[in-house]
Amino acid sequence: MLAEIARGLWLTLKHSWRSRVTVQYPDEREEMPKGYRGLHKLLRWEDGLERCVGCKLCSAACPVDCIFVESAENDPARPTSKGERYASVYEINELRCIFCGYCEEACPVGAIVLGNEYEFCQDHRDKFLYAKRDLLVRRTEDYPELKARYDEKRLLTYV
Amino acid sequence: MADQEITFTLNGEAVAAKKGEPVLEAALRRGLHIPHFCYHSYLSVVGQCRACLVDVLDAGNGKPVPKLQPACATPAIQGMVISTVSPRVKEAQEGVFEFLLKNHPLDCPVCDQGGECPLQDQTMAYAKAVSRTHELRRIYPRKELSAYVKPEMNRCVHCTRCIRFTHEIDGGGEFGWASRGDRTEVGIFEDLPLTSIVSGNVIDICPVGALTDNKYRFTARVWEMAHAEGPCTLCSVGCRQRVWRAGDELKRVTAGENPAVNDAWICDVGRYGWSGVHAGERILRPLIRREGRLQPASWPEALGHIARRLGAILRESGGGAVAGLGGAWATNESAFQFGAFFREVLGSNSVDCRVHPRDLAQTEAQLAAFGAVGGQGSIAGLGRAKGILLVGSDPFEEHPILALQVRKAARGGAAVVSVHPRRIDLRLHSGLRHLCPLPGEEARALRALAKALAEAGAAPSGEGAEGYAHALASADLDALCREADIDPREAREAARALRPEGAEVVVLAGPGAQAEAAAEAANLALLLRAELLFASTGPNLQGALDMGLHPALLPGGRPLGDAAAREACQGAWGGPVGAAPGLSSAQVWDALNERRVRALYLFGCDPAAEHPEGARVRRALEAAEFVVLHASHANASLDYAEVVLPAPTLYEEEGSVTNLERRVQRLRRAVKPLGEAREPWRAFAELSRAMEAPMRAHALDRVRLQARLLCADYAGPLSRLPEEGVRLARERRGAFRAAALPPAAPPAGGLRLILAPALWLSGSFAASAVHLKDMPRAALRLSPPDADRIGAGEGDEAEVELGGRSLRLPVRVDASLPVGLAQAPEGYLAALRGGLDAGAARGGAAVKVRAAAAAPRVKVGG
Amino acid sequence: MVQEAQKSPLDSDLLGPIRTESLTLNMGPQHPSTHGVLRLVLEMEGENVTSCKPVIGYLHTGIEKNMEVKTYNKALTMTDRMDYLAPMSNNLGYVLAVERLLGLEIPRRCRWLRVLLAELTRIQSHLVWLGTHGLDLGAMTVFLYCFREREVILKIFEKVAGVRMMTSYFRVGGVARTPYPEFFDDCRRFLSDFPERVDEYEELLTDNPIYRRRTEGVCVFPAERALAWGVTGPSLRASGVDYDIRKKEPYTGYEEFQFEVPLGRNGDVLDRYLVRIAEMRQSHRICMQALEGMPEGPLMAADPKVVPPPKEQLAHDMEALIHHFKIFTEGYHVPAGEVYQAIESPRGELGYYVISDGSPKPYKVKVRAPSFANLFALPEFTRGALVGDMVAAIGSIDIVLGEIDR
Repeated sequence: MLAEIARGLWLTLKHSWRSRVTVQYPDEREEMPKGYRGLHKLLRWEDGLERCVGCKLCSAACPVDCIFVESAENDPARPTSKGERYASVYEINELRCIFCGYCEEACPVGAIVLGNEYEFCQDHRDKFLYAKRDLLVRRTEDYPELKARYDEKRLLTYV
Repeated sequence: MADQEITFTLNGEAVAAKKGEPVLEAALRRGLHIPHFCYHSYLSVVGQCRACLVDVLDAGNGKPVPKLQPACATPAIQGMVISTVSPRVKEAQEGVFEFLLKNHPLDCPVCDQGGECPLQDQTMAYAKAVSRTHELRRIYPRKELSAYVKPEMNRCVHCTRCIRFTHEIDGGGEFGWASRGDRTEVGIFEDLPLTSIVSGNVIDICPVGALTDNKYRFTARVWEMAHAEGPCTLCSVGCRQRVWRAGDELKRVTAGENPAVNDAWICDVGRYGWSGVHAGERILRPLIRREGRLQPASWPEALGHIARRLGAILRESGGGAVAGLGGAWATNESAFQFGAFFREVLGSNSVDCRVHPRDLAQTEAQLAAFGAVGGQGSIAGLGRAKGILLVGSDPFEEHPILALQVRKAARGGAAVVSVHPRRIDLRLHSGLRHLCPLPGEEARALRALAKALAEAGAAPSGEGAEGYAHALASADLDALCREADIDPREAREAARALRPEGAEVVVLAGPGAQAEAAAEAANLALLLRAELLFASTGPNLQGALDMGLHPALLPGGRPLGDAAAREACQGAWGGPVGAAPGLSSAQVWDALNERRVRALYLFGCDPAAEHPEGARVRRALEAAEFVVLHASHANASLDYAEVVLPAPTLYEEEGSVTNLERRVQRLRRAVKPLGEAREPWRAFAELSRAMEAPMRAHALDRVRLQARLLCADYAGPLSRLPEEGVRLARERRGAFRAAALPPAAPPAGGLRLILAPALWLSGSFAASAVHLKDMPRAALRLSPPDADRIGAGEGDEAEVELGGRSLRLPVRVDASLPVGLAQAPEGYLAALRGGLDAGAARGGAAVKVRAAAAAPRVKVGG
Repeated sequence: MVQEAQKSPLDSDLLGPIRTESLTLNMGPQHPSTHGVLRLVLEMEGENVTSCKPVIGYLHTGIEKNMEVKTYNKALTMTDRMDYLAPMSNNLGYVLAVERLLGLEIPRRCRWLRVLLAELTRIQSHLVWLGTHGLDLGAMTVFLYCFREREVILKIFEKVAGVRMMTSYFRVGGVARTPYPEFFDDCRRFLSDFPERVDEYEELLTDNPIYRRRTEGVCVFPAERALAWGVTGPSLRASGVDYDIRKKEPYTGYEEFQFEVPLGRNGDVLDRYLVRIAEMRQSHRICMQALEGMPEGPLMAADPKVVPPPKEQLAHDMEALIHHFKIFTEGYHVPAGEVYQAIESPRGELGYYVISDGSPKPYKVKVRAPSFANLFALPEFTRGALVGDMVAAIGSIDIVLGEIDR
């Protein structure tokens, strides 16, 4: 009877020579896989114009209605996006979001993507209402892992 | 013969149809979908999009049709066997869609039609999913159409619905096509801008995103919105419409279908008038005048204030010292409650929904002739009439959908006679006869027409016929025509045209049918055995009258003198009803000046602006001791109010409304009331509680219950209303009233001004609707010689001097006006708060007009 | 409640009858061994449980009702959240049901991929069960080892679907995205030494006398009573009933795989443990076959009316753009009809009863949750058990409250 218990203890002891599998978070971090479904980002084209055209397919595809988009017409002199239409308001309630990635799948122009960020704590519920300025990247080049999601030249664009 | 019921077989299912009706129409009604783009049930059939090709396996004679047939242009025949699923139909459908999509731009994400697009939906159902095209797409140069319709012609599939609408329904014929083949382009002619008041319908019928709504552009997606379907409440026609909201905001209005009223069309005022709901002029909370200024107050404060003031006046002077006006802009339920509040709580019969003298004249003329108001004609009857007599009506400006019905009748061969000082435009190329009397002499022109009819063999019969026949016999046609300034030959021709053998005739009396002309219109309707429609400007004037907002009539139109009717009211309301008739809107003003009436309750009306004798009304309002304004929008009468109560607009209220043909329709709340506005029926109940005489009806169903008890023919409609509403028709029987015509006015020299309502300019609601600002602007219309005489061209400012006051208006040169006559929009002048006494004088007021110096050029028109 | 205790040999006539009270004990809803927010109302006679009443609903989220207002695609995301320990199995049952309504033909490669992932899910679900069950009974180490292996599987899930748990990876018509290039290598690497790991768990528990004392003969499910209660899955097979949907009504290509259905004899906690350990080995066997024989070919069903086109196609293909737009906004119309599709989830028979009225949203989705049926068999089989054994009993039926309450 003791033999069985001893065998178990021996197994445990053996493990102390094995290599460690844990990661010392937050000092060490694992690399997020390509295509991770984390905090949303709104991307721009190479020329700096917003990819989003405010078509609202993301909010239509969202199972939990956490995306609110309002569209408006571009000022031809100072366009926000390519084409006539752009999103004047783009808000995501990240508390409501279930990170299913449907918005990214629905986006016809590759504008909204789920990025690699997963640490976004706030001290107030209201602060989880991410507005366009929180979501929009300054330059898509700054996020190579997001830029690699789509071949920009093969996406739908407008003139 | 045409209505013969037949059956044919479609994909193995039996489909019932009327003989000769398009196969497509019968299939759609049965719920079997066949793809189509060019077909529209209210437009002509052209069979050109080829999406509806079907396989006729048996043409009813046992033989198949060798080639595929367009279902829209194939008449249904007994025993036909049709397939829409055979391989060659599938192949044809896929081919048609491939061609349609070949040139279609990749616009779905940026196109407003996305989500409600027949092209998308039918592509999902019938097309292949992968394109074989590698060619470049065709691109048209970008163009603009109007402030309301946004074109993107690259998306066009050439169905020509817009072309057919403007040619057949609207009559303007603005749309057409150019070029051929792959380059075919649909658009408007460069010198013919899209200014029609029904132009917005092309947005609804366009099956793709080629014509979209400029005001709704990019504001919402169809799946984000909910809609309420019901009657439009901006004029008395009551077209069926869909009001779309997202959250608490209205987004747009689209046409609904009601074959009895508006087919599938609405006018642009109805389409864009909703913007008045969110206007800055809205009264959002109660206001009380303190130290000369209106200051915000709570509901209990405001109601308490009214209760105190009215209570004191009642104690000192009795119920007769309080008068109420308005109700034509309210639901039946609120109007009923308004009347009940006055008769039962205040003990006053001085309650009247007719603020404008013409409403008074028209309703009194109907009461005299028929003993009741309304129910003598139908809008559908107008559309299928063989003869139409328009009296003082310019339907395109006043009730655009009635204009479409008149045009429909004219397309069907009806003769149309217009009695109007102007040569009104119905966009008809033929069949329209004008009798243009001097302003104010419409009655004489009608009498002349009656005389001409009598000469042609029409004989009056029925009550009062002898007196009328005598009056006609003693009249001299030439003298009448001379005095009215019309050609007797034309009068005789018009009379002949209006008397085709045994055909239906409709008399449509518009806002121009004032005073004696209203009574003469009724006489003519009796003489022609015609249907009679009076088109008022208040959307629910008919309903308000039926609900008893008349100084001598109780709910249900029963006279106040009828003891049984008063007893019925007492039974419903709990309190006694006085037998003495109250003051009508015509008598209130003098009574106020003479202090016989001390308090005035204005319910959704604006006499200071609406009444043509503005100065007199303003004097009376100033003399009033206590004025309450209960309205949705700040208006000209606000200056005189001591307490202001916010009311919801009819977009924000549940209830029922009655249109000009006496059709009761259910009104659904499209959006919740803005601010602190609450339903008027509820406000009256709360006010009665504040006055310590609580009304029994404190809930909507209680109000309805009372209204059903007291208004006999509303009993059914108010308990269960079908979607298209119920028309409460009345028996067409009345009495001739052969009143002597007033002596002809001596020919007036100089320019005379007449005021006529324009739907988009009249009233505080329309004035506040931002989307209507792009309609033709208010202008002084002058005939070309008159414009030349004062030296003003189109768009120049003119200085108008009227009754000692002067104001500036842009000039519009209008060839439809006779020399010596100017016209200005009724609501607009009044809204200037000038207190003009225009329109009181028969034949128009004398005005002096001169070109204003150095006026900035203003573009007039779309 | 006061009642006369039964006379036992210990009772002495000298002492006279002892009057005792039965005790009502609330176990849960916050209790580590109830595996979620389950509350058991126990009636106790001393140490013995005379009645056990499960109280559920603390985790009710209205998933079934919610699915009725979402399109078929959106409703899928709710299935993950029912049995959050076996998201792929839940996805699978749902998509199979909808695919049957649609009459979709799923390519063989996709079917095999689904089998592979469903079996990995089974392994990781059993690992969680084993770890927590061991923990309940005081065996701390097993928990650490199990979670170490589970982590590898979750990492694979994260890479293939984008997240660890709420994968929503199986979609109507196929899968959400093509597996990443090293996916099969990662699976192979994990599976290559997994049998050794199972040996380790067994080394720690199977022959461990303490473990055996706490599990042998505890909470026995007699086969016919278990059947009567609708118990399914490993809990039923531990009683010796050969009922595995993968064999009885094969779905998504299970008929092409060689594996055995492990059966128990006694139906006690130990047998349920042994069956699950054996199932992990069988799952490993299926996974290896899937990896070896993974067919080539398309991954998605060839129905463009249901499966959205690749995003690159939108840039030049109008038909594709329209289909993309409509599928993501309105959804696809599913022919009217009803279907019951059951799969063998790690917990037993997971059934989706879907009714379609022809619209793009399900008219009704009813889930036959295995945990629900298994839980309500518990009171009968724990009558008279010691309260200490309740922990082992609850653990042994492997319930997930998210699935029970839905």
